[in-house]
Amino acid sequence: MRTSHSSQSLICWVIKMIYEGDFLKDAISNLLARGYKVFAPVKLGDFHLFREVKSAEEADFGYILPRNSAKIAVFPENEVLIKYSSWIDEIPFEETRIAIVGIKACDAKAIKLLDEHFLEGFVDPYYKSRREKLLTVAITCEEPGINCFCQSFGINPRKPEADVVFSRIGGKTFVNAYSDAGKDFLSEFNLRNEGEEEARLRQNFERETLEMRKIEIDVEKLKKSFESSYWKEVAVNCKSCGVCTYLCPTCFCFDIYDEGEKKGVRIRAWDSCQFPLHTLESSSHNPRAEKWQRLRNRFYDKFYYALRKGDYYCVGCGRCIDFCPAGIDIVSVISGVR
Amino acid sequence: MMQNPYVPYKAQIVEIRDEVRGPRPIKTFKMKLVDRERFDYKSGQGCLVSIFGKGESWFTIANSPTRPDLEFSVLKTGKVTAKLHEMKVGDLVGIRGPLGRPFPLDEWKGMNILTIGGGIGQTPLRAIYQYVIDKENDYGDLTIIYGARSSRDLVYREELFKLIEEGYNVHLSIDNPEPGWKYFVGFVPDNVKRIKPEAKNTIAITCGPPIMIKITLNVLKELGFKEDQIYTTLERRMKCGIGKCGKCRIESYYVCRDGPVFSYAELSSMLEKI
Ligand code: SF4
Ligand code: SF4
Ligand code: FES
Repeated sequence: MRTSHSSQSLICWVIKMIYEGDFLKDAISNLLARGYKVFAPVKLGDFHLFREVKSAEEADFGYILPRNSAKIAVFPENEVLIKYSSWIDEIPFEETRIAIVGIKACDAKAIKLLDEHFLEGFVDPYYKSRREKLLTVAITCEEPGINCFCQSFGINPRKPEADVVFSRIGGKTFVNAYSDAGKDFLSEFNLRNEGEEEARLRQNFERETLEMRKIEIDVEKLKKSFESSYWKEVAVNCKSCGVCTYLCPTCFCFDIYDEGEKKGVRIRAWDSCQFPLHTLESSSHNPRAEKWQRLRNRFYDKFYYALRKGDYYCVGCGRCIDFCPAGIDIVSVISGVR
Repeated sequence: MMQNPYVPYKAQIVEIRDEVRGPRPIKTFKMKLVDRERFDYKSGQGCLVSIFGKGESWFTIANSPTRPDLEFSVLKTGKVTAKLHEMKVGDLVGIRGPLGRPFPLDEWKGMNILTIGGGIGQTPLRAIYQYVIDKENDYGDLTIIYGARSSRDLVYREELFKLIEEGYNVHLSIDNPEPGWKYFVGFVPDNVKRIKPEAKNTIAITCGPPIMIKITLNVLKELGFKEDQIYTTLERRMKCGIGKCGKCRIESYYVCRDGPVFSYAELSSMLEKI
């Protein structure tokens, strides 16, 4: 199932079209009418959050990045695994098709990373049931946010890995499909092929490198600095609040617990490696009892341990920098390792 | 393994043995799967025992797959284990497993096997020595070193006394003298020092409290054991049991999936020390 979503390089055809109208809103209306569960950015005061929307009007696309990540569509903050009484009553599964409208290149890449985690080895059936019914409609970035550094990971914010990609270039609406699912979806719309001049415009737009922050990752240095006092200094003001991990599009840790004694639900909910209880054992031994050990764990997890799988587990979205109450900045922390 | 790895099999408690009484009681539960015959597992693997309304808890399977039963020895520590201790023969629980990477007992064929255990840490070692006893032609000498605080804290006491009677190489110890105690008095690592097991062609597996393991490790090294001859099982907080929830992670390993069995060669190559 991963191939249909993730191997755009294998697909030699790409649908490149122009749309006259408000494509994103029309896309939402179309998806809702066809019974999709649609996740899109909703404006709340001066920021946006990805949420499930019930009408196109609820969505708003005037953002660089919603505060939370789009992963909620495939990996919700909490979900019921099993309903039980004396024994299992029901195992709920997602039946509806799901769409994310308005995802950006960083979050789209993050879903590929979550795929690696949840679908390799033991397949996580709950994740899979959503993922295989997911359609992504991405937006390209005109400008980066102040803490964006996605290009450091080879991500092109002007060419997200999604089923459908929407761009606003020179007042025109470009929509491209990069998968069968995307192609099918676009067949629902009245589109015309792009002209030669428009193609050039789009290609230039896609090729442009954006001016943004850059992270310097020195894996050898990371390896040597594990015992360095640097990590204590970095963590001095950390609140162990876990905001960084909750907002991160690639973080996947969760807890499982039962709610209800005789009758109830077994739930899984996001957890954070920044919480002291995360690793506390029943013998009361805690392998990461100190907050600096936990913070160090987060950085090594993303830039060192994850390498065994072949990827950094960061997509440079900058959310953990934007919202850390202690001003801990992953770009400077990693670039400045000593 | 089951289709949905979060959904347990139904199992029934068929026998309960009191191993240790007192404030930190240990009971061994023999279980039988209800909807299927049994599952294949290997020594060192574990299961999550599931009680709806309480949660799940990880236990290493306490007996060898060469024996007919599925046994778990449970120290009463938290919600799930407290509930288990209240349960009776005939009660139902859920079981998810077998989980994790077992001891490489096939690779150890032809070698001497030395198990060094402390307290409830004897559980995974029992799954080894039973296996080696049942397949004795495949292995060299078996040596069992085991100790606990007092004679009342020795798990599988009767079984071990019986092995001594049958002539097996079993060395028991307790921390403090007791009237009538015929065996060593002192800590487990000191007993190892006294017995001086031969390092040549031997695999040592040590499980128990962290401090015991630490000192035992030094003793073994002095005796000439190399890190790739020494194995242990790690204890971590576990939830999903299948390498997804991240709780048990150490470095890039998930203890539930890539462990709980590790060699010291593997552990010492990790940045995060145990
Ligand atoms: S790094 Fe910042 S966001 Fe993360 S736990 Fe510490 S204080 Fe919270
Ligand atoms: S670590 Fe920070 S910058 Fe990287 S993907 Fe997660 S939230 Fe974004
Ligand atoms: S217990 Fe969930 S990853 Fe190991």
